Amino acid sequence: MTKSNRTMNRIILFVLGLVAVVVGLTIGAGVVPAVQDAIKPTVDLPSSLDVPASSLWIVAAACAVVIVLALVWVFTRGGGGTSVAVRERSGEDAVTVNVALVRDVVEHELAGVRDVVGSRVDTYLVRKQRAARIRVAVRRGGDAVSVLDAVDRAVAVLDRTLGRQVPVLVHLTGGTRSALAKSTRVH
Amino acid sequence: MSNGSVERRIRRRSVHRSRSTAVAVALVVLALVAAWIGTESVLRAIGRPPLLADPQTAVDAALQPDAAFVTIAEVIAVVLVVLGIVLIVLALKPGRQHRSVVQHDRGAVVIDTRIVASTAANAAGTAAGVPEGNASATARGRRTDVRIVPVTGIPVDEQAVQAAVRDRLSGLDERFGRNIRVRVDEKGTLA
Repeated sequence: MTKSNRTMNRIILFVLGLVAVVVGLTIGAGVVPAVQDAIKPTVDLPSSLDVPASSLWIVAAACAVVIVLALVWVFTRGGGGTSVAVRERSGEDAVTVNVALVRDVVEHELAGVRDVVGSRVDTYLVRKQRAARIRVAVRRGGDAVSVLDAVDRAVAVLDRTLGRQVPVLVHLTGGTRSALAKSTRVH
Repeated sequence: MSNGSVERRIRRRSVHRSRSTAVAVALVVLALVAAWIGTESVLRAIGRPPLLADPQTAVDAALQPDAAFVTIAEVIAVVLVVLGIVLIVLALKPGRQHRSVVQHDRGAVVIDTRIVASTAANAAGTAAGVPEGNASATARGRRTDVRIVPVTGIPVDEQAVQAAVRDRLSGLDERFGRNIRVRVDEKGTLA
């Protein structure tokens, strides 16, 4: 749901993994004869390498760049969550609907529905559009069909309340709360 | 309004796991290693004693370790290779979570596999007339296996149970109802 660039994440993981394997094999080649024999035909590893004094500053600078890029990527991950569910602009004025309203509507509509343990709602900015994620915890041994019907009704009420259809993701989940809740009984 | 594309996107992103955490951990480790290498280089360049080993010693030890460093070099090499393979696997695997996408008119809907199984068990238990604890189900992909422990003296109609489960799951998505297996245990329990 967040803005994180998943393709880029995969590429970073892949490159880091590749680098780790290559460095590991290089070090391993110096110690384990089997590894050395295995990779000798393809690459000829130098048995010693001079580190000239002039390259020390270049290495240091490269390291600094790597550190900065890595930390920037780590600290800017996530994001995209918002507390505004709807924003309607007309000229100078803007009307915003807070996520708390959506939360209240959904919770109110789902209260007392069999097999629903709880619900959580959060909104995200996805491609400049605001989308709501409704997570409904279903009781252990519960019936997802009736829960989904109830959620449908709740979303219909939400649509009427907001006066528009916002994109929603409905996620029926188990989770700790439903694991702790009493299971249903057959009467 | 292009609700459809946004909903498809958030549904897809919900079914597949994010690698954010793995990437963050890997990058922090990378930053630490880079910090160490950078510090050693600077210390060497300004002629101060190194923290652990100056770059030349480190490179020598990595490529052609003397007796004292063989074990350390081995351990580091193995750890790096294993770690690298783990990262590559993480990068290439689809990373699906245990959730199923359900076709739905309004909104995007995903359901935990566990909830699908619990729905099947619920329907099976009701159809077979056994207590809740006697019906269990596992769902995997589109396939659902139902297992029923009958109550002694009351026969269970497998066909009826299968039909009931199919009906119930079709209420979620008709694809769930296609592959259902019902197994009734031979030994029953007392009511």
